[in-house]
Amino acid sequence: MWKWSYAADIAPELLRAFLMTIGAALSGFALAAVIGLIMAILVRSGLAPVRWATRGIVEFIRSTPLLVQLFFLYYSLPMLTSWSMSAYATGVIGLGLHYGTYLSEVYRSGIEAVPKGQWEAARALNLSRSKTWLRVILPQAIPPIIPMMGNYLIVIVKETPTLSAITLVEVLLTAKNTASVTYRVFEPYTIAGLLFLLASLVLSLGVTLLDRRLRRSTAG
Amino acid sequence: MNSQLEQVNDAGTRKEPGGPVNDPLVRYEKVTKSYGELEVIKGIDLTLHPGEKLAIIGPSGSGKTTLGRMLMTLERPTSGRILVAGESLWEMQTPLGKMIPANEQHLRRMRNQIGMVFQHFNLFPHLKVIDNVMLAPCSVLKMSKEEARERAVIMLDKVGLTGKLEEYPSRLSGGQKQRVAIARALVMQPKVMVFDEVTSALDPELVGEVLEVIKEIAAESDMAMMLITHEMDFARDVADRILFGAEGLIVEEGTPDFIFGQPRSDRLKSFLKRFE
Repeated sequence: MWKWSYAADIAPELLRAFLMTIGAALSGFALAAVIGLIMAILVRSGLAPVRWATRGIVEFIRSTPLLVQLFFLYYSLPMLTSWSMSAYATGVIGLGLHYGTYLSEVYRSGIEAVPKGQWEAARALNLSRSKTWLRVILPQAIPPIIPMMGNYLIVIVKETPTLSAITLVEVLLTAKNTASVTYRVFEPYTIAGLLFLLASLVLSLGVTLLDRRLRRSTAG
Repeated sequence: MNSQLEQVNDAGTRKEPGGPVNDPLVRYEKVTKSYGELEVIKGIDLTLHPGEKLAIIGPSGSGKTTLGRMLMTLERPTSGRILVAGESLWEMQTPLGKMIPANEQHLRRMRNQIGMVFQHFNLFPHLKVIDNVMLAPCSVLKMSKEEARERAVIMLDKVGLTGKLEEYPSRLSGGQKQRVAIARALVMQPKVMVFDEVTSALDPELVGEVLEVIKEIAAESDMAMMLITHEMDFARDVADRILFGAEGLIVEEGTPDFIFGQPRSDRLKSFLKRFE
């Protein structure tokens, strides 16, 4: 059954791999947060072609599985162009694009919750579009959606094992490799699971605290 | 308080008694506005002269708010045009002399001259009162923070809110919020300001303080004002000229004495009866 000595032996390697997992998740989330915001703003552009193109890209990315997109980026793209990236970089970009589309919807709900009068007041004061976004709209749109964004961060952390399919050596792959060497499966996978659980709990707590702090500072 | 407003305005331009006699600052030519099937404004010609205080009264649904919103470029006329200082608001001229729909750059240039105070205040809730008033001067007029702050303080003092500079809007009463909104709009020194039913959303006991502030501004400033209002006494006190609109048309136009003292149309007479 469970051997503590064995668990202690393999724990360091799994922990190292988990850091890779967290790194990829955080980078992927950061990229998704940026891409999502850009998409959310573009989809409200005054120019119809920009709106359509953005909506088309969002729909396309959301309609295909992350795994398929990762395979395309990692295997197909280098064949079609001279672009080739490491598994880590590909994984981060894949996560960023894929979850960027979901985050763009989250941003959209935050933006649409800002009362129309705010846009009108900004226009009456002759604020430029960028100043309106930066100083009036986004500061009101973003704090309420932080919990939702935090949830997506947790989702992304749990999605990183998918990156093992493009050879990223994250914690699940490491657990698998360890298990295949020694034929002991219980300890590696349990430890991997516990690491994910720990990360989720810590992130959940972090999101709750951040949300509380933001509510206090904007309550006025 | 009075002398401070003079510092902020251009030097030496106090309102002359008897009304200005200049080319119109604002002109609406055969303006209509429809929302799909619904025709809200059916053809209106209107002029507003520099420094003139024009009150627009009429029953709800007469389109008077829409008139103000079109001037502030929040709505676009379905047909007709609006001219500000002789230039069309919604159209611009190409180098070849052709008229095409205005781009954002043109609209922003026109908006420099126009300000608006809204019925529901529309203060920025995430900014303190002083920051609400400073935002546009810093951002649009490119003032330094110190200069913007100085102007903001003067303006907020003018509307009687000196003690509330560091508060957030949620802590203010409706009347205070509206006074902040007035200061915020005034600090941009527009040539014409639209006041869109600015007391209609206020509890009755708060209405007076806002009207007092507007009366003071009207008396001391050479800014043209479009006052869309239900407050008849206020309109009679402040306006140089009053328009009575109903069902999307201007029914009567005249000085307060005529409108209130000698109404001609039955429509206006029955409207005024409600306020007796």
